[in-house]
Amino acid sequence: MKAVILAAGRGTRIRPLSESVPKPMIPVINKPVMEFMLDLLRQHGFDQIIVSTSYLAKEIEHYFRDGSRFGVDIAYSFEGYHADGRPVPDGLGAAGGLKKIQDQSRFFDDTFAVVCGDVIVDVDLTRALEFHRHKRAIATMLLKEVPRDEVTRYGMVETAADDRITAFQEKPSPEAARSTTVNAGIYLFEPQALDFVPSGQRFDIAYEFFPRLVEFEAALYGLPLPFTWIDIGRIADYWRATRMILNGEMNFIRMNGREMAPGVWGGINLAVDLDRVNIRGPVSIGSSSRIEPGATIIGPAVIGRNSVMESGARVESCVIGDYTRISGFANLFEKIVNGRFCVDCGGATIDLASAGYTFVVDDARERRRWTEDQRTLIDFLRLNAC
Amino acid sequence: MLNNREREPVPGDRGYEPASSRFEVVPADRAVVIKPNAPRVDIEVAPQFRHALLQLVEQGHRSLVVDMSEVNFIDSSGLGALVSALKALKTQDRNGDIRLANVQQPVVALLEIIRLQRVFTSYASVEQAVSSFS
Repeated sequence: MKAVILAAGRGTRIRPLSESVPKPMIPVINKPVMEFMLDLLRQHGFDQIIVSTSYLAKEIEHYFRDGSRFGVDIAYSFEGYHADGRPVPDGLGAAGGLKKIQDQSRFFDDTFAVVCGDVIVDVDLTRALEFHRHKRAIATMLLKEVPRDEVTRYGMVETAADDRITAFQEKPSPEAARSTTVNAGIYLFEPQALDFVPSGQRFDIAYEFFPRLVEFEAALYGLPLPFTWIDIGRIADYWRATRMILNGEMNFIRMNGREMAPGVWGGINLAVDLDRVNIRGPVSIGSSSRIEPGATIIGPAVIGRNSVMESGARVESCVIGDYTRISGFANLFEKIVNGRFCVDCGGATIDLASAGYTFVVDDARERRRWTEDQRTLIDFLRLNAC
Repeated sequence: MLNNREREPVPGDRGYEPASSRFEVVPADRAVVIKPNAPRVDIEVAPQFRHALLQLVEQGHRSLVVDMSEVNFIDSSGLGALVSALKALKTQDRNGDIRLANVQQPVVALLEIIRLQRVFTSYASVEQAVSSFS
């Protein structure tokens, strides 16, 4: 079966994590978030997948390539153009992008799925397909219940007794919300649903396409299935998703690597002597990292690939990115460290490199050179703070 | 020798401001209070900050309170200034100290990351910081 992963979003709300990688490539436990969706699609028989890309498209293409490593066929649809040899993202909107694919090759010739590349879900797509076919729907939207105080972040959906979608309400206030059922960003379509999308122009899926289906009384149904659904739209969500996976609350996700000690997973080529470091799981350590004797890691925590934790470093409840060096002066609690940035799990960012704190956290590949002020601080910290 | 970046700006230099306008110095009964009037204590401000602090030490003050109420960012040169002054103070008098007051959350977070919150004790108000010197 065929599917489309929507991966063209820019991820402005999750900056600075989306500064150098597109949102679908943001790693959750050392694995790009989009890979979770790819795994789910494969498990339910979707094996011909088009990934619609735009912002930093190459990052996605270079990782997923033709899909053979993941047991599926992957093709890409770039939403944008090139100017002077450089890609310029120019998204068509999710529905406009689907229409472009269909206009080009009539790719969609049977029921197909459309999913977001930046959510982690454990939804039963096979059951959703049965519902879709039973209802003779041309479009089925998976629905999710959210607490009333969160409705302002989502598109609310109203359904009739037969599950037909009757109205939408975009990001209402909690008082004005007519329901607490939201669009989960996972859809099943028949090819003829695309007849409602104009060719060659921007057309949004949530704001334009679905309201048009309702307006024309097309067979658009909503399926309220209970399932785990984590959007990593904001830093706080990202941290919550990471913590849930590490704590085993999302048991459909298998940890990468080998369990070296209870609750401590590691990749290959690791330099770590578990008897000489203080580690309390759940902790995941990426391949080729070095944890020096005397370092402390208190879970839930993730250490990225090719990273270094020097003797004396202490991290607790943190996500440390790839190629990151945490010096022995560092004491990090509830932080996400990504390259030069250190983000509080609440969302506040400290640009450590620009502020001259590279002696605390920096890129593990950088050659170290200190200014006079940094040298003063390092000497002082060695004597007084560690 | 001071490198160019560290040189104290003098009248005529671009960006020169008399140190007095950037730092308020108020003597209190048990300590002297210095307050940077800048939201960012960075490479632009740090040389003057260091100069102002060291001047107080040279004048014989042994109990210093830095009112951080206006400061929401301090870079490594700013912290370097505080540390230099503390070292100078400790060489003069082991019991001398620099204490902080009204430290803003971003600065608290930074001090925690590099474990300097144990070195520079913080107080909720200038009065509390001053009276902590007995």
